[in-house]
Formats: sequence, structure tokens, C-alpha cells
Amino acid sequence: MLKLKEDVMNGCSFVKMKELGNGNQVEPEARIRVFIIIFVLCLFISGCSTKEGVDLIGMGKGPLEELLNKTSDSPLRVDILNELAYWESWNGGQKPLDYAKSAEDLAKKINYREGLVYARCILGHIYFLNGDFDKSKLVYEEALELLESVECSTGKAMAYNGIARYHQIRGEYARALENFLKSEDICKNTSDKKNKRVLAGTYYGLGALYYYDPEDYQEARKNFKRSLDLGKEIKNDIIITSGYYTIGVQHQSLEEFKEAEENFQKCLNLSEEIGLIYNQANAYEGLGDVYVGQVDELIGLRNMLVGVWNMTSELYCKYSSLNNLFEREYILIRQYSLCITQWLKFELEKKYNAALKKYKDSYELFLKTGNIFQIAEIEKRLGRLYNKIGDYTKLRDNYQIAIAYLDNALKRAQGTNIPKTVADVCEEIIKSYEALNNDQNTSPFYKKLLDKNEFLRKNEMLKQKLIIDFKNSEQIADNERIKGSFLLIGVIGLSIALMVVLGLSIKLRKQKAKIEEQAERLAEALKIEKEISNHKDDLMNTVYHQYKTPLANIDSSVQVLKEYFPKLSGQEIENQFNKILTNLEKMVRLIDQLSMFGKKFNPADYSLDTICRAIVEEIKSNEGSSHTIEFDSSDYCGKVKLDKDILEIMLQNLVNNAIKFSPEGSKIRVELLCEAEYVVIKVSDNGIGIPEDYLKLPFERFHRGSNVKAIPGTGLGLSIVKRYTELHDGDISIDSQLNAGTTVTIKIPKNSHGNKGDHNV
Amino acid sequence: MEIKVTIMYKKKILVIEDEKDQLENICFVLEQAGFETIAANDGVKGLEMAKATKPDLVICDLNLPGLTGYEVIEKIREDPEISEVPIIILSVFPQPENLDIGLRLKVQEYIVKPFNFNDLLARVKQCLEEKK
Repeated sequence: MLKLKEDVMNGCSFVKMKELGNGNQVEPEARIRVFIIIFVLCLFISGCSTKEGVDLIGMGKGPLEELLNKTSDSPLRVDILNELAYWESWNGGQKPLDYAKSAEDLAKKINYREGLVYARCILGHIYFLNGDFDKSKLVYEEALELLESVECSTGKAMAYNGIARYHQIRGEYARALENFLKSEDICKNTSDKKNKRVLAGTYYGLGALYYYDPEDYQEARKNFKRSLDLGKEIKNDIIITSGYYTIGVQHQSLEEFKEAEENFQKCLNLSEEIGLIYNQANAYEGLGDVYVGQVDELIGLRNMLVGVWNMTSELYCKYSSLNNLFEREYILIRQYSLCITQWLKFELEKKYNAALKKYKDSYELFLKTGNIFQIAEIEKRLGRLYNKIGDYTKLRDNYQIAIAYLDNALKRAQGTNIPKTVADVCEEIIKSYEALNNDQNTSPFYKKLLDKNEFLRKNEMLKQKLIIDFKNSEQIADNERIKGSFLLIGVIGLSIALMVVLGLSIKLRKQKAKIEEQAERLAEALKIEKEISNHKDDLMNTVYHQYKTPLANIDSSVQVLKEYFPKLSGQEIENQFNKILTNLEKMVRLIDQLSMFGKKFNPADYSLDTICRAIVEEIKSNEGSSHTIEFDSSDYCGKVKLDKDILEIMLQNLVNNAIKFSPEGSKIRVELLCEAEYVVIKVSDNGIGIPEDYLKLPFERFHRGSNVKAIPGTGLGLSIVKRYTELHDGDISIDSQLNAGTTVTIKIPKNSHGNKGDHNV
Repeated sequence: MEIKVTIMYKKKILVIEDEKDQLENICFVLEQAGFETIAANDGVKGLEMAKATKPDLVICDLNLPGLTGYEVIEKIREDPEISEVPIIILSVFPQPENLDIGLRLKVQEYIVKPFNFNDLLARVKQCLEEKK
């Protein structure tokens, strides 16, 4: 039993570690993400006002080139050159620089000062993308100087935006915010298309700030959405693709893989269509991240399964004398376990390969565009992935490949001088070396390793130094913020006095309420976040409990049979056997649910009425509880396309929930209704209901209401039902009153063909 | 004439366990060993029974509906009439490392499920001996 416990505990600690790991990983990831997102801010670059009124912003690269050939030296030509430089900047190479330079020369020649300002800004943007941040800032500042003598709101907004980006990537958030707000202020109430594009960029910036600094994901997502909407309004594909990408990143960091994948895919499709390599590469990278995240989930599941299986077989061996009693069930369990393990292995390898492929696609594209910072970023990811593959396959080659990628990434990151990335890469590289060090087969490489150890020590110091630098820069930013806030208090004090004098205090109050509301929302979001993580901790406990309890029951019955056999009556012996059987069935059901993960979605025409009735009957005969389960279908709905096995699990989950959370002897109602387009299944009970705080997230995995502590459960039930409903193209809603009862309603369209033909369940 | 009245009575053991199958088996084994058993299948009932019957020993599961096992034990320790009763914990979870059950809850034994009935009986007897 000692070994068994160890195995199970290993399973537990793995899952825990994984969660911890996520906590630590997502955050630096998020930081880096922010940097990437910032690039997107560059979207704003465009002409201020073209006198001819041609819509350059809604235009693709091709039409712009055509137009250029038709245009003679004029402000319009400068604008077109600028637009082209902007377009090409995303795809890298010498071209954007050429366009920007000729725009600048032409603007000087015909004395088109606004055009000159944009040309400067675009130059800054190109330098930024190439990782030449200091030069970029310099150019933006020059543009601002020029603007002292030129009146152009868009240009000013662009320049502030560029400077804000510079501060953001250096980690000086207070300054970044200040500059973003200046830019937003200029463009806020504009109807001009070009200003709207700048505004879209600013919303990206603000979204990124919210994302990183107070980690207010809701607010960040709102800003990203705003930006996407603006992009759609002015029909600018670059903004739209970047919008999908950032929203995908948001979902990814909340581990909402499905949504993330959808958004990355959208970004990929559109970028491919318009030939925007930069965002295409970004999308590949995002998709790779999604698969890596899913791999982590699968590994957790696999380790859990191994623990359960060890437990089962240990118990089986312990009572080998009674093997023939439940041999059949034992074999069944073993088959299930083997099936699932096989499937998991297959699925894991599939995901690893998919992730690898996406990363490599992305890598190739970024190499083409030549964005040093992005290349370093993707090399870091590749290194990290190879480390993971190494951990999984235990093959040392993988770590060596990882080191090769990471070495490259380190060189590049040191070149761009962004402390955080260098620190991240060093951390990852140290992991590779540690893994190689721990590998016993490494001894032939001993000498080489000594060198590597030297590297390790050097880089550990480098890393420490970098972290200190980074912290310092954050501190400086903080100090600035404090100084800023003193100034701000002064300004606010003054303006309050003015406002009172002017009788404008109402406006102020509104603003204050808005700030308070925001703070409240932040606190709320944090609370929910924390709850979810607590529930995840509960999960291991409940799964452990669920599997171990039936095993303990079987064990005790077997002991009673063994020790007291002569004293037992025939009836008592039969009772004991029945106990063993029901508990084995419980185990099989649990494992059954696990096995559903590998099934293909397989819809066929069924009469819902007959099938629901059969399922309810089966549940009734399986449940030994005193609840009355009523089935009611007044209408005949005809045939509906659905997957019978999945529907069975959905109904079983819902009815089991109803039974678990309502008093003994009470009534549970399963109702089938027909609407024009939908069939509706309702399951209602008179149970303890769901507290309001939980109703916000009833379908979140592992999330359990505050009033169900004593009732066993994994917190997976409703999330499974939701997923299965979605497979049927359906909707699920929940209506509940505390201590009065709960009704879950599922709507499935009659003519659904199922979500995706061969979708995995 | 000296009258010596000796009332012979079986030791009473209260078993609080929510799994019906397990509860029945534990009671059966204890009865076979000559104890009187009282069964309760949730925390609230368990506490009520403890107060009403004043058992000689309590065997208590931890994951219980109503009141958790820890809550039941704490409440028993707060009630002066039954606060001294020996308690054995039964749980599917390993004993938490950071919890000194003897010190905090004054619990005598912690048994992890699945368990061996002979082991349970030995510990029951030991607890009752110590109580004397």
C-alpha cells in the first residue's frame, strides 16, 4: 500500500505543480504578450488628411500600389507612400524603409509638412518593429518637435502613441499610461477615419496596460474589443486581425482554449488572405500556445489515471484468493484504463506535434519579416516546448535542441536589450541544463557539461542582475507614479475648486462613481478568480474521494466475507456480494465518464421522446434513492439528430445533480417540450438551489457552489453538460432559487447536424 | 446483608459514516466482537446521538454531509458531558502532515480507508483500555 500511496500522491503533486506552474508561467508569458501586443499599437500610422478624400485606410496593399503608379508628385502621393511603408513594415525587409524615406523626401520637396510628420512616425514604427527602440523614440520626439509648428491632431496622437509604446516596453507604465491618455484625448470624439485608426491603436495600448499592470482582464478585453470594433468600422484588416489575435491571447491566459483557438484561427485566415505575414506568424504562435496548454491538461489527467489504476490493481492483488468473484469487473476496468491510456498517449503526441508545427511555421514567417524581438520570443517558446517534450519522452536529444534554440534566443534578446525576455530565456535554458544534468546517461558528456555548468553559473549571475535591473526600472516607474500622483492631487484640488465655483460638481461625482465602480468590478473579478483556483485544489480531493470510497467499500465487504463466512446467513452473503457489485459498478461508471473523452461525436436520427424515456427509466433503476423521478412529454417532437450516448451522459449528470442537491423523497421532473425550431429538455428539482455568487459561473469547470461542501462531487458535471450541449449546437441555461430549487434548460435545434462532423467529445 | 449489584453492559460504540455499505459492515464486525453499536449516517445525526447516548467510543468519518467530521469532533470536545470520549477517525485521505490530531482534537487514532478490520478492532480495544 505504501507504493500505491506514493503513486497517487505523485499524481496529486503533479497536478498541483502544474497549477503552480501555470500561475508562475502565465504571468511572465503575459508580460511578454504585452510587449507583443504593443506592436499592434503601431496600427495608427496613417495620413492625417488627404485632401482628395480617397479612402486609403480601407485599402489593401495591392490597390495602394496601383494607385501609387497613377499618382504624380502631390500630397496624395506622400500619403500613399506612407500607407505602403506602414503596410510593408509588418512584412519586414528593406521595402518599408525605402517607402518611408521616399515619402519623407517627397514631402520635403513639395513642402507638405503634415506628410513629413507621418513619414517620421512611420520611420519610428519601423525601427520599433526591428527592435531598435531607442532610435524609434528619438524619431518620435523629432516628430513632436516638428508638430510645434504644424497643426495636425492625428500626427500628435501618433507621436504620443509611439512614445507610450517605448515606455511600455521598458516597463515604465506610469509614463506609458500618461502618453496613451494624451493620445486618446486627442482622438476621443472624432468622426474622422484616420483619427479612429489612431484611437484603435490607443485602445490596444490601454488594453495591454490593464492586462499587465492591474491584471484587470475584463477591462483589458473591453479595450481590445473596442479596438476590434473600430477596425471593423473603418474596414482596416490589419487592425481586425490584430484584434482577433489579442482577444485570443486573453482567452489563452484564462485557459479558455476553445475560444482562444477560434480567435487565432480567425486571425490566421484573414492574415493569410491579405498577405499579412506578421499577424499570420502571430496566429501560428498563438495556436501553438493553445496546444501546449492542452497538453498540460492531458498530462494531469494521465497521471491521475495512473494513480487510480495502481490503486485498483493493488487491491486486486491483495485479495487474490477471491479473484474469481470480481474477475470480470476487474478485467473491464483494466480494459478501460488501457484504452484511455492509449488514447491519452495518442492525443498527447498529436498535440505535441501540432504545437511544434505551428511554432515552426511561425518561426519561419518571423525569420522572413526579420523582427528580432519576435524571433527571440518564438525561439524561447520552441525551447520551452522541447524541454517539455524532453520531460515527456525522457529523450535527452530534446533538451539539446531546446538549448540550441534558447542560445539563439538569448543572443537576440540581449541585442534588443529587454531585460525581462533575457531573464525568461535564461530561466528556461537553466531548466534544460538541469534536466541534462539529472539524466544519468549524460556521463560521457561530462567534460562538455563542465563548460555548461560554467555557463550556468555565469548566466545565473546575469539573470540575477537582469532581474534586479528590471525591478529597479519598475521601481523607478512606481516612484514616478507617486510623484505623478502628488502632482495629480494638486491638479485635482485646483480643478475641484474651479468646478465647485463653476457649479460642475455633478460631473465630478459621476466620474468618482465610475472610478469606484471600476474598483468594485476589479475586486469582484479577483474574488471569482481566487474562488476558481480554490475549487481546483478541491478537485484532487474530490476525485480521490470518489475513486477511493467504492474501493474501500469493496475491501470491507471482501473482509467480512472472508473472516465471517461461516457465521453469515445466505441472505447476508448475498447482500455482501451485492455491495461489491454496486460499488464495482460505481467504479466502472466513473471510468466510463473518463473514457468518453476519446469518443467521436456521432449523431443519428432518434425520437427524442423514446430515448429520453428509456434513459430516465435506466437512471430510475440504477438509483437506489427515494426520489421520485417524473418524465413528462406532452408533445411529439419527431426525429432529432443527436448522439445517444452523449445525451445519456447529459441527462444522467443533470438528474444526478438534482438527486444530490435535493431532499430525500422529493420530486425530480424531466420535461420534454417542442418548439418550432427547437426541442427543449428541462430538468427541475426542489433542492438547495444555487447561491447567487455561483450562478455567475455555473458552467466553469471545478467551480462548486458555496452550499455544497458536504456533498461529494467534482464540479465537472455542468461543464460537461454544457460542452455536450454545444456539440449539438444547443443552448443551456440555468434558473435557480436558493433553498427552493433549480431548473436546467437545454435547447437543441431540430435540424442540427451536430457542431462538427468528426469532433472529439 | 451486603448486596452487590454489578451491571454487566456491553461497551457502546457510535459509528458515524455516510457510506451505507461501509457503515453496515463496521457495525456488523463490531457487534461480532461483542460491542453494542449505534449507527449515524451524517454529521448532524452523529452529534445528536453522541449527546443522547453518551457512547464509550466514537468512530467517525471525515467527509460527512451535514457537519464535517472535524466539526463533529470539535463539537463533541466542547460538550463537557461527552468531551472525554475517545475518538477514532476513519478517512480515505492520508493523515494531514501539518495536523497534530492528538493535540488539537484529542483524537486517539487515525485510520486510512481501505483498512483492515482486525486492525480496527485492535485499536478499538486499545482505546477502551486506555480510557479505563
